[in-house]
Amino acid sequence: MIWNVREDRLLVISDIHLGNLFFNTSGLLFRFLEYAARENYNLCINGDGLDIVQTSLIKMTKELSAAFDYLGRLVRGEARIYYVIGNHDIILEHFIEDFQHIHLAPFLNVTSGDKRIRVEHGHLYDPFFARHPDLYFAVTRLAGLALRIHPSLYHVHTFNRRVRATVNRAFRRGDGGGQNSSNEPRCFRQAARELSRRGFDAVVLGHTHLHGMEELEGGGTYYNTGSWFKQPHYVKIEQGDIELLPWKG
Amino acid sequence: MAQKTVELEMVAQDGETIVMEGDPGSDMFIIQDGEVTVSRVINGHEVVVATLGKGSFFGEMSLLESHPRIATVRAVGKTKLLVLKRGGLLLKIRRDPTFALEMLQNMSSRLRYISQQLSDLLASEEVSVEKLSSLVASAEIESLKETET
Repeated sequence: MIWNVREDRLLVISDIHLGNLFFNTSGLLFRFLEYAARENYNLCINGDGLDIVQTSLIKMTKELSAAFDYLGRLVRGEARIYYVIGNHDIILEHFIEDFQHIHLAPFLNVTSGDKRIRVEHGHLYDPFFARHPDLYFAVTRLAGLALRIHPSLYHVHTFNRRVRATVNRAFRRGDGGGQNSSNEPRCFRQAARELSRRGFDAVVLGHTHLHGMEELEGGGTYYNTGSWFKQPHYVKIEQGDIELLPWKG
Repeated sequence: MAQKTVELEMVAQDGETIVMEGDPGSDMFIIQDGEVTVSRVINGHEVVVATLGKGSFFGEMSLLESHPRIATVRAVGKTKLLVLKRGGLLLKIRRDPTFALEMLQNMSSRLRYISQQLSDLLASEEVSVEKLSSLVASAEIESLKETET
């Protein structure tokens, strides 16, 4: 398994959920892949690129075929493509490996310029997933069924999460300070801090679907690339310079 | 003298010895910032076998096996270290599970290298204490390289 890599031009995206019924930004994604190929970037898909849990086979087949076509263009330009496994694609490793030019990894330790950057999906730090993986899987499937019945339930879910995170933040005491720009549960920030204590200048996670960045207490910066459901974001790494940017196509 | 800070972090000054070959010890170290040299006494001479940078770790063998240190490690410039003790290691792995995987890969790499070198040495039928010592030292260099790449 290779996870220590040196890359001076790397784009990181996550949580695309190809095949998910509620993913409707495929056009934006394909234009992003075109951009990566045109500008000679290497690419890291940081987990949940595919969705096996809440999927439509017909939709996945169509989107995958197009996506692999665009990934092929990247490969022909000699770009390297890394795929970090997430929780929605954990059982698809063999399937992803079929596309021989993708380097599969559980996480990446990227050296770029003089910076060390950890790129990891982040589901291991989700307390619900870590404690009850089977239950998590079952609930995610059930949520998928509920969303088929009424898609607006997704907004109820995100609203609920936002309220809980805001309440948690209001009562947060002595857990590192700093501005949390995305209202996400603090366990992810704590995980990023734990990783940064191992000499990482930056930690890039996905999983939460909430894009944002913040400086960590004790040094290091935490980035989350959010998801491609609504407001696609990506991290651009160039010679150690790291930026979180929106993708508007 | 090293200055201990909160959360088992430590700052070593330029040239300061962090661990000494042959000394007892059960701490493991992760380099948060800076650099260290790793040296061993081979045939009566201290030889620097590797330089480690940010993110690399050392001292895990003494932590896991409670054996004396097999190398001397000195700071190059001001070096910030995270110190893990036996109980702390478990907590670290609980909070940062991929760290265990990185330790395993490091050890696997060391084992693979030393097995290959030992096979080659035995096949050549020229086994001497000097060659075995140098083999052990080079195995450590290889594993440290793996940590660094």
